[in-house]
Amino acid sequence: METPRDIFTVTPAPALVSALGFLHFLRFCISLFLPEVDDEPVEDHKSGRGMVAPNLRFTCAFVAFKLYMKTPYQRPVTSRCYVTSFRKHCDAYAEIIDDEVEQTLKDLNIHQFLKFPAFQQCIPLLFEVLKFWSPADEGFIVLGHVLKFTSDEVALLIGMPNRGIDIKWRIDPLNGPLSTEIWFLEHFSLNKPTDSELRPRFLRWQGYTELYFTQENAAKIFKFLKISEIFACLENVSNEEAEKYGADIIAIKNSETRSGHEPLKLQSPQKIKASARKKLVTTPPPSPLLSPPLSPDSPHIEPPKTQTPPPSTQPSTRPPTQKISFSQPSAEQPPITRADLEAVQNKCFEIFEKMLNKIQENVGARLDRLEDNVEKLQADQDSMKYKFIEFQMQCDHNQEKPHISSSASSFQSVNNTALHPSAQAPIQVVHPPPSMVKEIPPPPPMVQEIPPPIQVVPPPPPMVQEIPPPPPKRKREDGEKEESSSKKVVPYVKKNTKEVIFVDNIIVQSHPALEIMDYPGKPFLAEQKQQFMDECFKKFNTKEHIIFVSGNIEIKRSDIDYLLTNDWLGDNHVDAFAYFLLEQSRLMPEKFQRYLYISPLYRVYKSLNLDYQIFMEHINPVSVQQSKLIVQPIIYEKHWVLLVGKLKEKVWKLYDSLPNPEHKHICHKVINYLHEDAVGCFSSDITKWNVQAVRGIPTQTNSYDCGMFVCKYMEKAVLRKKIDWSALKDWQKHMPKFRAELAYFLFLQTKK
Amino acid sequence: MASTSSKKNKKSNEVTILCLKVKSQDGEELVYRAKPTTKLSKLKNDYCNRHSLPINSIAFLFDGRRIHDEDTPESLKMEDGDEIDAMIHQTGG
Repeated sequence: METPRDIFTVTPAPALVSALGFLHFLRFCISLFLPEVDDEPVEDHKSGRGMVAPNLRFTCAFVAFKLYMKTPYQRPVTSRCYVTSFRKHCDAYAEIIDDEVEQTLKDLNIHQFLKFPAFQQCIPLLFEVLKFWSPADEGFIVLGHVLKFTSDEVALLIGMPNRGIDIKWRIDPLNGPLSTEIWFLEHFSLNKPTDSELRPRFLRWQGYTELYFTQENAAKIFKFLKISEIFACLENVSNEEAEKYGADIIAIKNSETRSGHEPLKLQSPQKIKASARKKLVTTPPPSPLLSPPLSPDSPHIEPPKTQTPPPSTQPSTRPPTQKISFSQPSAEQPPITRADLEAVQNKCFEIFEKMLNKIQENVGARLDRLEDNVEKLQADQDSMKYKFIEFQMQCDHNQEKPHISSSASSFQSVNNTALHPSAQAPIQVVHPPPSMVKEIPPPPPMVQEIPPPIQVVPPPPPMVQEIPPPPPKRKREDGEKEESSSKKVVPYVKKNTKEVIFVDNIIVQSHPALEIMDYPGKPFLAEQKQQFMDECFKKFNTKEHIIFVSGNIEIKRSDIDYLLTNDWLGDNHVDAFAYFLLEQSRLMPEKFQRYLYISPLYRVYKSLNLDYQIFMEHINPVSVQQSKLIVQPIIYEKHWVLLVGKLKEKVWKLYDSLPNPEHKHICHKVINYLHEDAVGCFSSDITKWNVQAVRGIPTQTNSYDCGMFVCKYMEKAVLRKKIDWSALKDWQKHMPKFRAELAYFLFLQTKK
Repeated sequence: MASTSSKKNKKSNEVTILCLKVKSQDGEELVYRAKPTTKLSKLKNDYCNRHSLPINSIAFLFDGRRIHDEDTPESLKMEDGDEIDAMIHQTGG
């Protein structure tokens, strides 16, 4: 199998952002419902599904994606406005949940669900995905297959490998009518397994080159993103492969007869996808199964709504011929879409409700199982105690050996917590379960964030994960097995507590970057510049090559790649741009107003409690008096805006390329920060100055250029000359050029 | 002779190996043991790998200052047990 690199032009995206936290919730629900979870924890863990897996605690994953299909795409999914309404629903829902359920959720470590992460973009897509959910089957039903997949897989279905890698699939960015482009996202702060083996299998490609799909199938998936085809792909998976990759696939391959017949009839992939989808959505409701477990209230509402909405919402929401068509309605028929969205939202709402009911039921059963596990763990722990002591002694002697000492550190850290019990009763075998619950939680550092008692949950899967055969429940009686399993527990502890890594053991790989690169801005550059750029691409051919360094700014080759390829800009880029601008203004004081630049990192550091002094060093009463402007780009919630303080007029101007009144809030916050840190610098109270959004400025029509817009706003705002914004309306067209110019400029620095 | 001298070297290395804590934004810590002459970029790379982050997507900060690739614990005058902050680069669109 060739590496996917050959199929796609794979370049890494920065840790982009957005919205799959929700699917994580889904994933949780699914994993909770899965009967196999306990029977096959091994596979479960490997696929990254284990909701209880400690390394997948529910710091929600953020996933960003942008999807462009077929045509040079009319308008982006500007779901930023829907975000709030959707969130409101979620928040409202969080309030409705009664305390008991809430507590249960918290105990299960998923109370983050109650505060939804900020979504950006493509809520419609989530709805789309949701429609496949069938409560009766406790899974997604697609083309008659009941799928119990993880959000990683959902991500894949939507076309998103979520390792921060973007896949570009297009011929000509500027005029190719058949260009398809998919970007990504990232598991933002998910605690990954350190072992690459444990990474979700779909997501291992770049560098890890183990792609589950065959080359052709993969190409198919990403080429047209036809759901039907994806599943066709899955069916092509040979039995061997399926065995190799586990039960998930088999589950996928199992077509349920009940819901299977209807959809299969219209399976021909060429048939309009949407119509297939309609059927799919309508088919799940063989809900006789459903009704018994449900709570008394819900059945009244559910059957009608789950069944009826699809027909009613779909036709109107989406001109259903194209899967991606939801991007158009959002632009063209906002009123209808919104109303329909509401309907869909309501539906989601109900689905939630059902899920929760399920959860409630399942939690009981689950807790029983947990208790079993707890008892088992308890036994394990006893045997571990001795090991701890042994190991500790060993460690004191050989600290050099990397293996031992790395595990030693884990032991030591466990000791801190675990020794207490052992000190009290080293040989005590039977603890009352509740006390047990208290004992175990300490080891994982998660406690810092989420200390609920049921932390105990995490241990079982990883423990068993390494010993495939023993089904956890029964083996616990065997004393011998316990010891072996107690050994296996160790890696789990290791991952989650302090781990000592020997730098000498690290092998540093350099990652090759493209030597020949095509980028949208190329045609805008003069030929000479193009040549120079081409040379540079060849010369700096690893992602680690440093292009430009100054103070806190460090631009590497990979940053250049992001810059050139319509990716989001990071703090590095904006700082670098500002740096050049500052130099320029010093050289030509007649053209530029004097201004003070404050790095966007100021706010970031401040919010992270890092030492931010370096960004404020240059702000003092003298410098403020000599300047006319304060320029501060702000990045917040993955959006760039520019805040400019006019010292004479005593007013703040906000340049926002996606005008939204909500963005003003962050400005106030930043101004307050400034007020705190620059005491005595300003003649009046800056928090009382008006914050005005500048109108009539060019704005972006896509969802990736705001960083560049902010740079350019900055460039114009500091000029002495008054700017005629109306003449600059077509900035959006020039963005590739601006990007290329900045990259060129950065490359030039390497000559110095 | 050779063996004894190498032993001596080892010993002197032992003494000078530093423990550096890398702290992520959510407070999680990883401990690295490094020689004072080790380039800190090595740590950074490993950190990214461990956390499945795309390379170059984080910055290491020492006392608020960014650690560059060429820096070593020696050049930054780090001491045993010093903390490094790992910050994910902020990007936006």
